[in-house]
Amino acid sequence: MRKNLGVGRLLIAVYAVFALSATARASYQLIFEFEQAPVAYSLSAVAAVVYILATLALSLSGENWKRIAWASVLFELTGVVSVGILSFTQPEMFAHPSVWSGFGEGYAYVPAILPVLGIIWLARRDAKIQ
Amino acid sequence: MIELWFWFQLWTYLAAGVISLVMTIFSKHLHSVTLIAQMAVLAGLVLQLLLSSGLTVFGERAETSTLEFFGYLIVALMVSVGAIIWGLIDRENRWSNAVLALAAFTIAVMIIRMQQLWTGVSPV
Repeated sequence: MRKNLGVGRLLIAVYAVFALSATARASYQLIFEFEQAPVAYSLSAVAAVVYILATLALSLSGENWKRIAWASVLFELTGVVSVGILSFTQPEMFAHPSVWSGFGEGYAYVPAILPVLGIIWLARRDAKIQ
Repeated sequence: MIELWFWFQLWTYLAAGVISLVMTIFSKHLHSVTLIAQMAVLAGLVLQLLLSSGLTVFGERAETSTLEFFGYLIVALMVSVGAIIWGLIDRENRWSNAVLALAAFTIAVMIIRMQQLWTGVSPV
């Protein structure tokens, strides 16, 4: 793991917790409840994969991981905002909870705050390198 | 889950989180108090696993979903073990205390959800 991450370690740890819990939850939903809400539960699975990618990319060094880190936090932000809006305008699509519905209200809005913190941290790190 | 045992766990895990946060401020490395607190969290979860496995063997079932209950319990155990491993690898860093605090708070939230799955009513 990269050194001198400072408070960034905490960010990686939050991502790791989300990667683990979202994966567990999405697996359970896909296996036992998929037919109840295919859209919401597929989204949960996508979110879980992105959290795993983000965790890895934020903790590993190298140009490629940096690109993946940016891509995954931006994807997450897009996901949480669009699913958040859709869950208000098209509630019938999201009658079953996913990580991102209602801007992540089921998870104390952490799914919405996390990509913003991720972007700030990545931007600051890039600025430091240059 | 037994009601009293649930509350004991919840307060223990919250206290472990608060202590670990305090250690983030005062200690430049992983403090032994943080590690001991997280070990208490892990011990509580292992006891919970033994207790609910025993109840399940003797025919008791969670009100909402026994399977989901055990899913949460196993993920909580993984979070606690993972946090301890993280702390031991990254010992010379202040933020290790914060990582273990995060684990304790996450597990506190998960134990509330587990109690809800077992009894069918949210305890808080």
